[in-house]
Amino acid sequence: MAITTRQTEGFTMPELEYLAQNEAITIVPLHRMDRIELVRGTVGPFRPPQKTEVPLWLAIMLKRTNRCRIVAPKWLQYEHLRDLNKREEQPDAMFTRLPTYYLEIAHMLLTFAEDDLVESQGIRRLLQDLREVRQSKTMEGLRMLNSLQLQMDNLSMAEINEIRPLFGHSFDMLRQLDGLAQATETEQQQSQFADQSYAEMDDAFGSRYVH
Amino acid sequence: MTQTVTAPRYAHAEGYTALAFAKSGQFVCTGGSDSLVRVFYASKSERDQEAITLEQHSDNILSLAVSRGKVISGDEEGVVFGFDVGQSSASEPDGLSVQPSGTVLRSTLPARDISISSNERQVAIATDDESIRIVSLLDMAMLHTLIGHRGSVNSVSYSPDSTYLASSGCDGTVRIWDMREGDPACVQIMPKIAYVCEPGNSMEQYKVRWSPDGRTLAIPCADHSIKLIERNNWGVSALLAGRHTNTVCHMAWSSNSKYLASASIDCQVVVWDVAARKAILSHANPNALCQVEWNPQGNMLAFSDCTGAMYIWDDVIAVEQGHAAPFERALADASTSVKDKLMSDLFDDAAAAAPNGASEDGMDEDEDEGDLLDDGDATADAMDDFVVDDDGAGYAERQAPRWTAVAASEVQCFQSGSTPWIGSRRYLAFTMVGSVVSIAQDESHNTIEIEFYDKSAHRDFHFSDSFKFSMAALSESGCLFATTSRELTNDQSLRGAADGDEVSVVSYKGFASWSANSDWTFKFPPKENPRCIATSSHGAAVVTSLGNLRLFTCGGAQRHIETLPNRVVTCVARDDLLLIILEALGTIRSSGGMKQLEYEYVLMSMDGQSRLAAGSCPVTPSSEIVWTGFSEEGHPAVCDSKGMLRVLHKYWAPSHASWIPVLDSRKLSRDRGKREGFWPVAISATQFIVVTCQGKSKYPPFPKPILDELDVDVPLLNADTQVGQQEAKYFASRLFIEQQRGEAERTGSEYPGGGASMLARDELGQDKLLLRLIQLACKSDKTQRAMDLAMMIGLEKSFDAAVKIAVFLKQSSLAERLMRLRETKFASEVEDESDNSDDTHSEVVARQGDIPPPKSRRPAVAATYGRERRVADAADGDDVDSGNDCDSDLGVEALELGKCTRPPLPEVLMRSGANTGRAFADSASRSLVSRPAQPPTTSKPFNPFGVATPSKSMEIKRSDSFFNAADMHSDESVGPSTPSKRQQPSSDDDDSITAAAGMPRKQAKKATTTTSNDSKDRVQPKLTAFAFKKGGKPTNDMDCDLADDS
Repeated sequence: MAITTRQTEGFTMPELEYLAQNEAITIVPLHRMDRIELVRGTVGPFRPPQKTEVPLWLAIMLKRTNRCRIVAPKWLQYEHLRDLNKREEQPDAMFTRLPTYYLEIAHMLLTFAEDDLVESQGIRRLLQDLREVRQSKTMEGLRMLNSLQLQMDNLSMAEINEIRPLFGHSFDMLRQLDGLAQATETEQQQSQFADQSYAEMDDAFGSRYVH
Repeated sequence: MTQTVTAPRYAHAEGYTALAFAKSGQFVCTGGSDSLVRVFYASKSERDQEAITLEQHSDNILSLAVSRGKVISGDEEGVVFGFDVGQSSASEPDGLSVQPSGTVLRSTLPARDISISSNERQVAIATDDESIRIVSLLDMAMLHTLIGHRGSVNSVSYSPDSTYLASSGCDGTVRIWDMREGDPACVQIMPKIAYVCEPGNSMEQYKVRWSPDGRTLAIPCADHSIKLIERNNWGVSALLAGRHTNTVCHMAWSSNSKYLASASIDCQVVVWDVAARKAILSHANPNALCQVEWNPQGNMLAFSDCTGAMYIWDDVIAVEQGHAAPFERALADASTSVKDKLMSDLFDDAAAAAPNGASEDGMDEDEDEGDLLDDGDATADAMDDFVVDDDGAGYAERQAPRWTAVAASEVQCFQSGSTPWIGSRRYLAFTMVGSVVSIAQDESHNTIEIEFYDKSAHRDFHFSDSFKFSMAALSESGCLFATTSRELTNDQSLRGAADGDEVSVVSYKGFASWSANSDWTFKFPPKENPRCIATSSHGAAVVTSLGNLRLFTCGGAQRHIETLPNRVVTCVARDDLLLIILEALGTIRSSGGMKQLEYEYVLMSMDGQSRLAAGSCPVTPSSEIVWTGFSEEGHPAVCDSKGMLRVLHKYWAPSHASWIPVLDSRKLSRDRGKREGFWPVAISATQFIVVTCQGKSKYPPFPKPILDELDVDVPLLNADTQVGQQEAKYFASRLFIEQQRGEAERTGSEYPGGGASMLARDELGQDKLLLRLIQLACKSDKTQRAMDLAMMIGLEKSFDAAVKIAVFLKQSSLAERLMRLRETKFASEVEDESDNSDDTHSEVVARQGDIPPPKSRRPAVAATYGRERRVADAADGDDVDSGNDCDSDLGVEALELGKCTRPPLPEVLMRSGANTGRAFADSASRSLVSRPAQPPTTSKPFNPFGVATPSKSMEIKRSDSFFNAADMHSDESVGPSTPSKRQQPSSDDDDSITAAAGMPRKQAKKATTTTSNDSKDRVQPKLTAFAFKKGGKPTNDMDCDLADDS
């Protein structure tokens, strides 16, 4: 699969937000509506006050016209974020599990649906903390980069995006250097292996943007 | 009234005089300011005998307690002495000997009150310092010091089962301590509930007292009234007021807890009938009173005043005038007595602790205690098991009469979805339409806010409420408000606002916009107050305190009035139905404070013209109804305080109505391992809609929380296994379909959601669940079970699928039997069907004259499907043939499956399409409400192919097995309407089913992998689907369909 310049150079935040808008989110509709047939599938019917799941873009659209309340995802609740922060701050802790687009979703919800979040200011603060902690960890993790692989589980899209340009080039460079250094059979195996993991990386964040 | 109060017996010098009866009623002890304790005989004949005088103390006696074998007295110096009571000699059985047994406690401050636990092992002593001392009576060792009160403690009282200890302090605080554990803990603090008294003034030191049945605690309070606190929920259950004009300082319960005597500084002794909440007798004394006591075994009161005099009031309650005796005449059963005595010997300690160890001998002092404690519910946990078991049948017999019927005036009514005041706000109503909130403003008015969930239907509004409405009922077409008298509500804010000449008001606000003035208000005559109200789109209902049920139309026309038994608990309405819940006559309360409420229900039409069903309304033992409502589809539903949700099924069929438990929400929260409560809001066929209350709060918070949905889970057995879950699902689905059909029949309307095709779809879904069960049964070689399940199948087509499953899973004997069963079952049914369908057809024609009869429609349908004319003609010619047609089709299909060939796409489309079409046509005609079939071009709602748009037509190919057809249907039309359902079928299920239906395993496997991939990336399968449609590779397309399902 071809890699676009975007994938090597990274996305802008609005682009990522655009992608994140396809994520599902729970809303409580405020208006009664029939189901809506969308290309991706049908949503609804909307029967207040029963919760229903819609793509984020639709939720925001409805929210802006005051046709729904957005139910904050569990991970975006104050207590949950506080716990996450605590776990994240522990030394040697791995990255905690968060949705791929957690920063984007949180940003959009805080922008458009702040009144639906309890303690939104606290959430903002916690998110900022969380982001900083994870950022420093990512940087720390980049030190472990070798020519074979780099494993950082539960890294979110925005975070991957941040290191993408640097990582891509460095990785290529490392591989080249490695290839020059060793021309043995083992090296061959290794480069295969590296290819493979590269392809995996592609799958992880590349495949969904096939146009 | 002539009262037989004896002349004062000046037992002591002037000053505070304490008083206590022996449990046997044989004697009464007094203690006074001359630091003497005197023991008087109580019975009339012996009353004049010389009292026994005990000269142990050296200061004013302030407190006395008498148990079976002990007298314990406390004085102002803080010295507490114990005395042993025994028979003086064998020759003179009535003679008493009271011997000092030692000091129980030496405190530095006055001992205000003493309470002995029922097992006579512990004594609680309240002193003027801030602690309560618990002393062991066995070795006089200090067991515990209960610290918590701020200020002097002036009274202590053990509950009769010694589970709780109530104490009160001079600052008006009452505390409840749990005494069961090794380390007593304060379980309840009620600040400022009693009045604040001056520490050190003996006359003012009031006492709190437990009723002998253990369910009520009496507390004197500031406005000279007495509050009765209910055990366990610690809420004020009643207020006895209006007689005393000064502080109540002492109270005594009659031994059967029916009467309460109170003594006050205003020189009055008042006897209250607790059930009726009113004073029945009073006696004026020349001097301020100190203490009052009932004789536990007689109709006799003793009281003391501040001059040191003791009075005895004989025959207090006029038993011959219909009053119950204040004590229980327990008939001593000689054999029981002997048995109990034996047992108490055998099990010494344990038997002494357990009430059934108590002797029933009339002369024995044990009797009273035995009575109090025999209640199983409350005390069983405190008892040793083996004693209870040993007791055997005798115990049960003795327990029975201790339940007492409760007077009707105690019926507590409520509105579903209302809460008490939380701060300055309360919900008056909370339904799926919206919520009604009352906000306290000031003395003269509240503000009412009505908020809707569906903002498109109505606009939120609020208004100023000068009536101070305390009830509201909300429907989609209007909101009904009512005030109620303050006697019927515990609402503090109403006090003061409403006065003697209060008049109740009921008011309706219509939401309809076309009518200019749709609001109306009625004033009730004095003494008639609304107890509960309900409204729906068909009108409004008010049940009043006189038992009148008044029905109004939405416009305010008075439509109907009738009188119901005055035990109505709540009522609720939906469309044309009104559900009224009454407390049944069998409602009883145990002596341990446990209520065993029983309910009845009446389901009637909103115009009062007919009653659909009535009967008893069961609840989980020792729970009460906390919510009633209708499900979205129309099932009347009730939720009890133990979290069990029940629906009234088959209410449409006279005398078939039954309550079916559909969800145990308490168990659900247990399974989740969280401490959360569910506050019911509404119910639908698949979901119970609640507000989840975290932690201890029982009511929804402000602002209005987001509702949660709990999936309905019929509590069948083996719910943790797949079989159990499937069975529960099947049961729930059957309930739903039966109800929908019944409701449609009752109201004469179509099956909801699009008539027969919806019914057919639902039936198909139901059969699908059955087939899964059959499959599971076959897999575990439970052929008989599979057979039973097959019997329940409704559609012939599904039955064939069952046969296929049996064949596939190599249950040949089962398959054979099924084939035989099929012949008998459907052969007869086909004939019935032709009759039936004729009937229904004529019915339909009668109702909807413009629609042509279905017979002429049939060929048209078949022709549009592109099916061979032969079949169409056959169907046209004779309905009976249809079974055979299906057979031949199946045969062909089975063949094809066997060969595992893939016929060209269009052919499959035709064949399977026709098949499903027939299945639908059959079921449609079988159902009572028939509906014209439509050609597939009009994709909704009749859609035998499951073909909504041309792009989806590829899915047809899946209908080469029954399951896939069923899947397709349910997913197409059910899926979006209930999103949670769509997520439910696990990939596992789909896999096994497709495999069972003869699909090559490789394909099935592939399908699963695609499914799991899909969860990661949803765009992909769509894209591939597109690609394959162009390329025309059906195999992969199928994968994609399955992926879509999950």
